[in-house]
Amino acid sequence: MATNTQSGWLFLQLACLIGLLVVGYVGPRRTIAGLVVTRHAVGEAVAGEETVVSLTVTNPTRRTRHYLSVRDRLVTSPDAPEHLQWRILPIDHLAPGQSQTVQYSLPCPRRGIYRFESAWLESATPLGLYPATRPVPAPGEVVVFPTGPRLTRLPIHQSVPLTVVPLQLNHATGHSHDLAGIREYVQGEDIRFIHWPSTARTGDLMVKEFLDESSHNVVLLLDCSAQGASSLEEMVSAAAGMAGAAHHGNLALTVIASQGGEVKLLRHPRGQQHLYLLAGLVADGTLSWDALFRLAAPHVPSRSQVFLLTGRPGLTAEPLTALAGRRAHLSVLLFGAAGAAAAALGESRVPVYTLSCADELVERFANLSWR
Amino acid sequence: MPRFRFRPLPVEDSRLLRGWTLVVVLIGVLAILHEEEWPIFGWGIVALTMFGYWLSYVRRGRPNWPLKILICFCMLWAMQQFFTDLFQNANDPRIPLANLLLWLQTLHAYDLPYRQNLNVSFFVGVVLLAVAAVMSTSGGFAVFLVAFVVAVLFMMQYSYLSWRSEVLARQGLAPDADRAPRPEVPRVRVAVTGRVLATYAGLLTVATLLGYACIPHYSGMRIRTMPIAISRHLARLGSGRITNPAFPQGVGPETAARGGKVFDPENYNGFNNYLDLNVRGHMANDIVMRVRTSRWTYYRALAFDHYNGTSWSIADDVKLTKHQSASPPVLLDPPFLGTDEIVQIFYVDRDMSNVVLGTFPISHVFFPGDTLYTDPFWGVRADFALEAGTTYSVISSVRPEDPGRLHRISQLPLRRQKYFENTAPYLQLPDSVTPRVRALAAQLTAHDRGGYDKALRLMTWLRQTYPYSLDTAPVRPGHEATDEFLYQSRAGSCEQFATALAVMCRCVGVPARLAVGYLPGNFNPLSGVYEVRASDAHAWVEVLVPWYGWVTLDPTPGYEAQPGVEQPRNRWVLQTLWAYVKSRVNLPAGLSSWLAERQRQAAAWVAALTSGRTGLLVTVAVAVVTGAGGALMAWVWLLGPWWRRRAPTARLPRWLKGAVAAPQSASPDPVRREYQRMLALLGRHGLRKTAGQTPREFARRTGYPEVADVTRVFEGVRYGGQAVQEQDVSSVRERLDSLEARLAEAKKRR
Repeated sequence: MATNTQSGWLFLQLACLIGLLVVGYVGPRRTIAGLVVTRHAVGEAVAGEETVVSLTVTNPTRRTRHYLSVRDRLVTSPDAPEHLQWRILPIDHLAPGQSQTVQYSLPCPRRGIYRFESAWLESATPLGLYPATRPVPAPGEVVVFPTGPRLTRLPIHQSVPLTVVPLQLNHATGHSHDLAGIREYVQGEDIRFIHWPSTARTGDLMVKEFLDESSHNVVLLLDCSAQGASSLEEMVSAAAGMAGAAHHGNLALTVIASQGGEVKLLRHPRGQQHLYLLAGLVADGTLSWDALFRLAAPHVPSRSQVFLLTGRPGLTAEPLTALAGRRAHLSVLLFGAAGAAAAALGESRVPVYTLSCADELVERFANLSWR
Repeated sequence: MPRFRFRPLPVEDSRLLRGWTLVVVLIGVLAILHEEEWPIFGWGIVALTMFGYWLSYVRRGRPNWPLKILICFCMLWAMQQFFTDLFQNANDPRIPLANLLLWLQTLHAYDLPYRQNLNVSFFVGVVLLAVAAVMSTSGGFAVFLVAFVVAVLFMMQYSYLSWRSEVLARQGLAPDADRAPRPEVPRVRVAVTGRVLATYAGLLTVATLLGYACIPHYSGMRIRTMPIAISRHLARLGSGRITNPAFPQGVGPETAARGGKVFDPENYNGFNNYLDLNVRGHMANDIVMRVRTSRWTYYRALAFDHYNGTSWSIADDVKLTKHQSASPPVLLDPPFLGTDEIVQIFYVDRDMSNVVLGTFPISHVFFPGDTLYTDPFWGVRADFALEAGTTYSVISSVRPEDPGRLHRISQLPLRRQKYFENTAPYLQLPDSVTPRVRALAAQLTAHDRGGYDKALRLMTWLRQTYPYSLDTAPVRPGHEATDEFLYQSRAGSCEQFATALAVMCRCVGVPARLAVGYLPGNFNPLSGVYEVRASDAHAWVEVLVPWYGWVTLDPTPGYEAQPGVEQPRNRWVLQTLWAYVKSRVNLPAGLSSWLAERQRQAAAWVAALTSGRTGLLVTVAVAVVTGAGGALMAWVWLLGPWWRRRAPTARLPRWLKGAVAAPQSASPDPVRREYQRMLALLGRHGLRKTAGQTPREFARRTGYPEVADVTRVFEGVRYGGQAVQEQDVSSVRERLDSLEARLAEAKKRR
C-alpha cells in the first residue's frame, strides 16, 4: 500500500510495527533468561490432605525482571483433569540478586510417591506477544502416605499353624541364641541352621532348633500382582490400618510385598518406614503363588501370624506349604473379586476374610475373640 | 453435536488499559483531523470518543441492548454519509473513507466491555494512523507516530497484565466452567511499566530502524485512483492569461517584465509569456510545493519558441485551446503520447502562478476547477490562481527515451527524416546571432549527421566547457545573449546554458525550444514526497527528433543530461536518507568530495560484481553459500534435537559433534565420559539417576548387567584411583552398545 500511495510515513509506521513485534518477541525471552529455580524439599503428606510446594526463583543477573510466572506440576499426577494439574504462580518484580519464594498447596487425594521434574518459567513481558516458556530442572518428590481403618487389635493365632510333617518334628523355632535342640531338616528351611555334626553323624540333614524368641510376630504379606490391581488401594489401606494396630499392640511387624518379579521386605519398621513402603506400592507384574510364598518364606519368622492380603483370585492350599516350615499361622484377606477363591482353601483350616473395602475390617475384626 | 454454551467473557475492569487504549485511538483520530485541517466535526469526534470510553467503562457489566441497537443505526447512517461523500468526490475516496473510519471508531467506543474489544480498538488506531500517513506530506506526522508508538507500548503492556491476571484467576477452573470469578484488576503503577518499557526503548529504536532499512521501497504508484483535487473556492481568472505573483498586482506580466526587470526570489519570472534573460539572481530556498510522484522527473511548466536575442517569448500566445470538463479529470490530447504513465500529485505550499506543472506531455489533469487552457506547446494554464493549499494531480503519458533508437534515427539519410510538426517556429533565429556562434555550432557538429546527435554533441560540449554561475553580468546593450555567454561571461545559469544550446541547435538546423519548470526537488524518505524549493526553478531545452517527437536535454552542468531517459528504480532507504541529509546539511567540501569518491568506488565495485558474467557467478556463489549456510544452521538447530533422540551414537564428523551431541560436562577421561553417556542414554529411556543415588545403587535399580559392568569400571577409575586402561575403555564402549541395542529392543516391544 505504501508503494501504491508513495507514502513514506507508511513505511515508517510499518517499521514501527515491526519494531514492536521484535520487542514483543525478544522481551519475554530476556525476561526469563538466566533465572534459577530451586524447589524446597516437599514434606510428606497423608492421603486426602494437602501439602505445600514452595519454589524459589533467584535472579543472579544484573537486570530487574518484571511480570513473569512459574508454572509447576507433578510428573505423575493424581487422577486429576489436565487443567487442574498446572499451577501458575506470579512473580511481579525480581530485582538483581533478589530471590522470591512462591508456594501453593497441592491436594493429595491418593497415596503414592509423586515426582516433580521441572518447573516452567514463562512470561510475555512487556507487550503480551509471543509468550516465552522455559523448563528449569527442579526435581522433587512427594510421598503421600496411605490411610487405613482405625483398628485397635489384630486377630492373632486364630488358626492352627501350617505344617507338612508331623507336628512333633516341628518344635518352636526362633532366632534366639538359646539352642533348644536338634531335629530333622524340613524342606524350605533356612540352610544356615543346618547342624553339620549331627548331619554327618546321622546321614540325614539335621537343623538346630532355638528357643522361641517371640510369639508376637505379625507378617503382612501383600500380593501386589497386576491381576488384583483394582483392589490394590483397598489392600494398601487395610495394610496401613493393620500396621497401625500392630504398632499399637506392640507386635513385631514384618511387611513383605511383591513388586515386579521379586518381594520387598521391611522388618521391624521404625516410625513411618512401613508407610513409605506402602505409599510406593504399585500393581506390577505377577508372581505365581508358588513363587510368592517361596520368596516370602525365608523372611517369615517362625510361628508368626501371617496375614496374606490379595486381590487375585485362584489361591489354593497347595502353595501354602512353602510357609509350613515356618509353622506360621496364616489368615487370608481376600479383596474384591478374589472372594470366589475362598472355597478352595476351606479344607486347610485357614481363616479367610472376604472384604470389599478396607473399612470392613473394623467390623470383621471386632467380632473375633482376642488373644 | 456439541451443546452450545454461552460463556460470557470476563469484563475488563482495568482503567489503565482503557485509558491507554483511548490515547492510542485518539492519536490516530487527531492525526487524521490534523491532515484534514480540522473539519468542523473534529472536536465533536474527540469528545464523543472520550465520552464513549467513559460510558463503556461505567456500563461494562450490563447487556446495553438499547445502546447496541442505537449504535447499529448510527453505523448505517455513517455508511450512508460515506456513500454520499464518495459520489460527491469520486476521484479521491480517501477523505470519505477516513471520515467513515472516524465515525465507526467513535461508535465502537460505546461498546467496549471486554479486553478483546479494546484490542480491536488498537487495530482501529493503527488503521487511522495509516490513513493519516497516506495523507501526510509534512514532517509533523513524526510527532503523531512517536506518540502513537509510546501509547501502544503502554496499552499492550496493560493488555498483557490484564490477560495475565485473568489467567491467574482462572487457574484451577475447568475450561468450560460457567463463570470465572472476575479477575483481579492488575494494580500496577505507570512508573513501573514505564521503567519496563524504557528498558526496551533502545531495542525498539534499533529494530524499527533496521526494519525501515530492510523494507524495500519501490517507487512507482501501482494504482491510478489516487490523484486528488481538494475542493477549494478559487478565484476564476476568466481567461488563459498567465498570472504570476512575481509581477506586481494590476500590471500585466508582459508589460511589467518588459518595462522594469522584476526579480522575485520566491517566484520564478520564467512562468510567463516572456522570459527576459537579463533578469537574474539567487532564488530563495523555501519550499514552494511538495510533489508525490511515481517517478523522478522534471516538472515542465512552459516552452518558448520565439527568441529575439535577449529574451524568449511565446509567439503564438493568442491561440489558446480551452478544455472543459464538469468533473475531473480534464483530458488533454497532446501528440506523441506514450504508454508510460507518471502520476504526480502537487501540494502547493505558496501562492504560485496559474501554470499547471507536469512532465511533458500531460494527458490527464485532476484539478479543482473545471477549465484549463493549453498553448500550442502544451503548456497548461489554469483558469484559477494556484493559492497555497491547493492540491492537484497530473498524469503524464511519456515514452521512455531510448538513446540508441534516437541515434539510429539520426543516422537515417536526411531526405528520409520526417518531422511530425511544422519546424519553422523552432528554427527561427534573430539577426543578432553572430556569425562566430553559427560557425562554432557548425564546426562542433561537422561530423554528426542527424539532429539528435548534433544536439547531444552541442550539449556535451557546453556541459564540459562552461561552469555554472548565477552571478554573471547582464547582457550588454546591443549584444546577443548567446554570444555574450560563449565569449564574454564564459559562465552562466541554466537560462544561459539552455538558450545557448537552443540557439546553436537552431544554427545547425535542429528544431529546438526552451522549456522552463522545476527540478524534481529533494526526496524526503520519511514523508515520501519530493520537496521542491523556489531555487529548483530551472530551464532546459526540448529538441524535435524526426519520427519521434520532443526530447528533453539539459545542458546545465551538474544536472541530469537526459532527464527523460530516467527509468523507475527501486530505492535503498539508506541511500535515499543519505542523499536527503546531504541536501540539507552543508558538509565540508573535502569530506563531501571524499565521500562522493568512496561512494562512486563502491558503486563501481557493486556494478562490476553484479553485471555480466561476473555478476552471474557472484550471484550463484552468494546463493550457494547462503543456501548451504542456511541449510546447515537449520539442520543443526531444528534437526539436532531430533537427531540426538533418534541416533545418539550415530557417526558424525567431529566438528559437528559439538553442535549436535547432547551437552556434556567436561570429563577428563574416556571412562567417565562414557559413564556420562550411559546416564544420558538411560535418561532418555526414563531411567534417571537421582543426585542421592550412588552409582552402584543406580546400577542395581536399573537391573541391566551392562550397567553394572560399566559402573564397576567407572567406580574403579573414579573412586579406586585406577589408571584408565585401553581395554577398559573399549569394553565399556562394547557394553554400552549392547545396552543401547537392548533398550531399543525393549522400546520396540513396548
